[in-house]
Amino acid sequence: MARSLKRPLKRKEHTEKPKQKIQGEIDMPFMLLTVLLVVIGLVMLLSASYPSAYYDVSNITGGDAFYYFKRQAVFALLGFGVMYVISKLNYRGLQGLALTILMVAFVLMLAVKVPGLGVNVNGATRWLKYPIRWQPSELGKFGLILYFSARLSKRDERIPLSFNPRTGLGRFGNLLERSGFFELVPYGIVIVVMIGLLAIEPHMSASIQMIVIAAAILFAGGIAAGWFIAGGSLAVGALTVIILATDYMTSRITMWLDPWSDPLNKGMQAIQSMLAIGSGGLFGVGLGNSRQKFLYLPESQNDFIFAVVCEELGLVGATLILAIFALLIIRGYWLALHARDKFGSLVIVGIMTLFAFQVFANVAVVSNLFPVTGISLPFFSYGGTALLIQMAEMGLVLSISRQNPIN
Amino acid sequence: MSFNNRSDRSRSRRLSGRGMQRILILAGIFGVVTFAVLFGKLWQLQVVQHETLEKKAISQQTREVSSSANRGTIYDANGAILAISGSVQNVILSPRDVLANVEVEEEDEFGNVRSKTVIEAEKQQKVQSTYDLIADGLSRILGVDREDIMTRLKKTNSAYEVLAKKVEDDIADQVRDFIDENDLQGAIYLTDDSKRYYPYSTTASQIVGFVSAENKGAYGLEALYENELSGEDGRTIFAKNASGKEMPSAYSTYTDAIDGYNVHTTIDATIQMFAEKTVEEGIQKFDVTNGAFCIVMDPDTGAVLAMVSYPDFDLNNPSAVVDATESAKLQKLKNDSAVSEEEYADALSQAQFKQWSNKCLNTSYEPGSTFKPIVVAAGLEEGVISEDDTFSCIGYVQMDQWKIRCSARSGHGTQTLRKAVMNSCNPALISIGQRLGADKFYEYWENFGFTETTGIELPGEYPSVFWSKEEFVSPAGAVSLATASFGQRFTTTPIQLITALSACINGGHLMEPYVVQSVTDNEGNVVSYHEPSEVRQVISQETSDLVRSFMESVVGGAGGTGKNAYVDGYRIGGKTGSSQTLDSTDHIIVSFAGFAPADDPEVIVLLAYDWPQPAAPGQNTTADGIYISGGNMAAPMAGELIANILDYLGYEKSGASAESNGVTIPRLTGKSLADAQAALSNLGLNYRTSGEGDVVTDQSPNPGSSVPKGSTIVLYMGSEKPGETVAMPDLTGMNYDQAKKALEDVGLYLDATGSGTSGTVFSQMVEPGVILDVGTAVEVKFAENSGEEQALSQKDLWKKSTAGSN
Repeated sequence: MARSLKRPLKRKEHTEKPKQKIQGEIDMPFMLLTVLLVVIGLVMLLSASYPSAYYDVSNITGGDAFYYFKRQAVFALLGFGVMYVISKLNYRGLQGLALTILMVAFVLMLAVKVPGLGVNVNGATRWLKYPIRWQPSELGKFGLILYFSARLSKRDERIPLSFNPRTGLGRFGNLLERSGFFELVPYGIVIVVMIGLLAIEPHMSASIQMIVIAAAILFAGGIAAGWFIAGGSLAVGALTVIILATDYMTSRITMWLDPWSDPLNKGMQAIQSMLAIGSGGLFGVGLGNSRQKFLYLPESQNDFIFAVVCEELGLVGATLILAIFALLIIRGYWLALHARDKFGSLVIVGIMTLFAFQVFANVAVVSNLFPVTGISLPFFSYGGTALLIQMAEMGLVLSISRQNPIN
Repeated sequence: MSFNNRSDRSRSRRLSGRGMQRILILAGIFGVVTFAVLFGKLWQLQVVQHETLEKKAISQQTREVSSSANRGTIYDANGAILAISGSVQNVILSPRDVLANVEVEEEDEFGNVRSKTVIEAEKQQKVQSTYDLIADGLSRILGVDREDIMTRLKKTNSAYEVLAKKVEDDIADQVRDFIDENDLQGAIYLTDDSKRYYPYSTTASQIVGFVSAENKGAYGLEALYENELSGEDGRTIFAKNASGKEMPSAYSTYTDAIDGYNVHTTIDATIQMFAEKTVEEGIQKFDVTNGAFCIVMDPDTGAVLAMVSYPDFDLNNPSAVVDATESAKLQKLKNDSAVSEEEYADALSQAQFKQWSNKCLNTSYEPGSTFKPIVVAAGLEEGVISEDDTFSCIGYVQMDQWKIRCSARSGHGTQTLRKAVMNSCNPALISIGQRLGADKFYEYWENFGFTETTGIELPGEYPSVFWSKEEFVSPAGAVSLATASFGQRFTTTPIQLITALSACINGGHLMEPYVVQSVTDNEGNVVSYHEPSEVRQVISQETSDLVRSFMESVVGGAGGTGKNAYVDGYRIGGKTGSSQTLDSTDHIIVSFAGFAPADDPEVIVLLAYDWPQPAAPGQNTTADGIYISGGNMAAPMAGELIANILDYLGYEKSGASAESNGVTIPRLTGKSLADAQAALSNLGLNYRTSGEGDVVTDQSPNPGSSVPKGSTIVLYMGSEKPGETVAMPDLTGMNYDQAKKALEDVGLYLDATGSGTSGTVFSQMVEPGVILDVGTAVEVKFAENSGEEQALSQKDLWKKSTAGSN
């Protein structure tokens, strides 16, 4: 009771600024961990990128060893600004915008196929030219998170469908309703459209990420566990068929299991990455001293940056960085548990699961635990827009954390 | 209150308990489990597989460039080069780069993309013309088959086809020009290699040895001293990036190439060539069919000055069969369609093996009478004989049922020890052997080093073949002892024999023979030096002095078996040998072991010819009428060789005997006839005059020439000395008087050497038919056919007397 007596007094002081009544402080541990990772990521990017920038492998740097670093640093600064601004906003406004954002994302994902707007790299059109080169599928992920969270948070308000129990069809309809099928239909449609759009880009790794975040949000949103078991089995089955039926996937799997069978060609990336990681040993060759980054390791500033981390900082350094990632992720879920509303919780679950999955998938690919797919390491890999979007998402998590009731 | 209200309202919109559980599950999966899995994988790579992966990484990140060490040089005793390395180039073709270098424009001059078929066709055409260019050019420069180059060009996956190995600078320059002219850098290139040159080609071929194609020692000193000669290749390890550029790195290391050491042999190339000439001349002269060998050694140290084994070979091409008869035989086999490839290859490798093998130590033979000084030395040392002892010889010795004959069938009668040695008398030696007894004999056999190899640093030294000690000292060994006493029925290697004979004459020191004097590094610092090493003292100085004096008598004494080795002005000692072999009655090895100067020997020579061919089977002379024996064949050749060596080493002829056979003509021009006449008659020379003047205006032969006593000198009294020339007559087979007359008939003078007035012409310094000025003195060597040292066939030597056996 003492607490409830004190509270009104405090509140009185803030009555002039009504917004601050509901918005507390941002979650400091989460923010500090984010800043820490962004800074470490920048340092590692500098180390990993300067050889390929210096030797100008992709013919864009003009021999400027700091090319990648400078650009990434600018985006990181921008990212801090974006993160700060978003953290100040009230996230709840997004609940109403969710469907619109998703629809805009769908349109833009289609727009990549429009000549003059889309950019084709190695046969994949995943990018839009304007305003700067970026992937609309990133917006798609965000839209999916928002839409799913918004819809699930209003789950209680949904009126169950009921059919005429006297007809067979009606009884079947009621059965489906009780099992939760009809409730899942809108989500299903969104996923199917999303994957359809990604398939024509094509963008396999984004499709996987979509499925993972969708599943995570639906799971946390309380959808019956049976559906996940069924969906999981279905996915495993489909994957098996795809792997066995298509030569492309079969050879990819073979190469994953034994990259040494084609060391100069298909197994090259995996081998070079493992050589880098293995060379690091327990304590690494020292920051800046990686040898594998000297053009042996493809994409050393991008997807394979963590191999350079492992080589330079060793198992100890790599584990430390992974631990910071793990702490950030756990803190994120903790914030989800304590969010003011279900929408906030689910948005955090979506963002953090996406984030965690990217970290895991990237490191798994780099260490040849997974077959090679193009997933970059958040905060580390070169890519301005990706960094910006990731930091914006962190900002959103922070914004939700402000309204945390125990704050 | 309103807070609570809002709180209540929001709680209703907050996550359900089930949702919270599920977030905890997600946090467990994505915050803990996945990271644990990743940590496990990283542990596996960075801890478990760390070393393997790091090794692989470093091997791709570094480039090792080896700089090859220069192989050391092999020198003779005076610094003449016997083997040296020179740099050469290998010509390498990279068919892959040839193909890659062919470029075809993908756009025409208007910038339009051309059709694939057009590009393909043009490319085909360009490739073909490049192939033709390379095949034509390189086949011309390198002398390689054009088709072969074409075939290699079509191996387009290959980047390394060796077109020619070890080409020398002139060819390499042509290839370089060809590459530059046709812009073929990378498609054809040269790599450094080195090649071994042997300036003396056949000289000391078995000793020097040769190297393999990879410049690794394969034979002889090249093989034995491989470690010293090869040096150590230098290594530079660079860190490099994936495109091959060098980078600074802590892993860079640089090791200098260490050039191989130089090997200085004791072989004296000049003496070696003297010895080779002696061997080859003898082979010609005596129709020798099975090769020959010759060792020249310093008896005081065991340093080998020359070592000849015939047939020899050209070190620059060791596989080629050099010997004319052998190669003719091979050629015949090759052309014979009935002979299979394999049989030919067999024959070829046998011939190669024969010329590579060093008879001086890769074979053992029956030493025959050359062994006798060793038995005499043992007898003197043990005191069982003395210089004053006499031995009687009736021409044979009866041992049980065996009748062992002496070379003098009628016997040498009673003779002193010295005379017995000079006569090479078998019964006397048998008697010495018996006085020694088998035990003592065997002891000396051991002490003289025959039971073990000498330890000379050359490959494949054979052991001797002798009776086992048990057998030899048993009563049944009596006959063995008897035959061993005169050097038959056992074998030793030539190097063992000359080492033991050295001990007989050098004061009793058994030295370890050696061919490598020192090993030096590039700056001339001595890495190792061979000090003469004495194995043991076998006999006393006194015994050695006496044996040496006996051996000098063999050559220099009246009627010695080695008198054909005698050369005016030199004190040569020696012992002849004619050894029977068991494989054929005709197969005789004639040999001579000699040394000089006899008072303090500087060189010891062992020379042997294997199987001089008799004129007809069973006959004991060659087609040229030379008696087949060591005394008639090896002795005169060895004598001449020793004289040449002493000359070369700078030993003065001892004056006393230099003029024994001839007279040096004084200057007579300007003298009156009477004065000239007096001067000539004092010297025992005749004269005739030409012209009518009072004063000698010219003379023939010229002052300083040496002519035999009783020669006729022409004195020109005012008349012109005719510039007449004559052809040298053939003196073969003539005795002293015949030769002198034959020469004087054409206006030449005889300068006799060798046995002189006794004996027949052994060799003439000027070949028949050579044009000489009238009045020239020609040196002619005479030799005696010595009946004492004639060869006995096994049948003659071993006569089983059945009569009276029971």
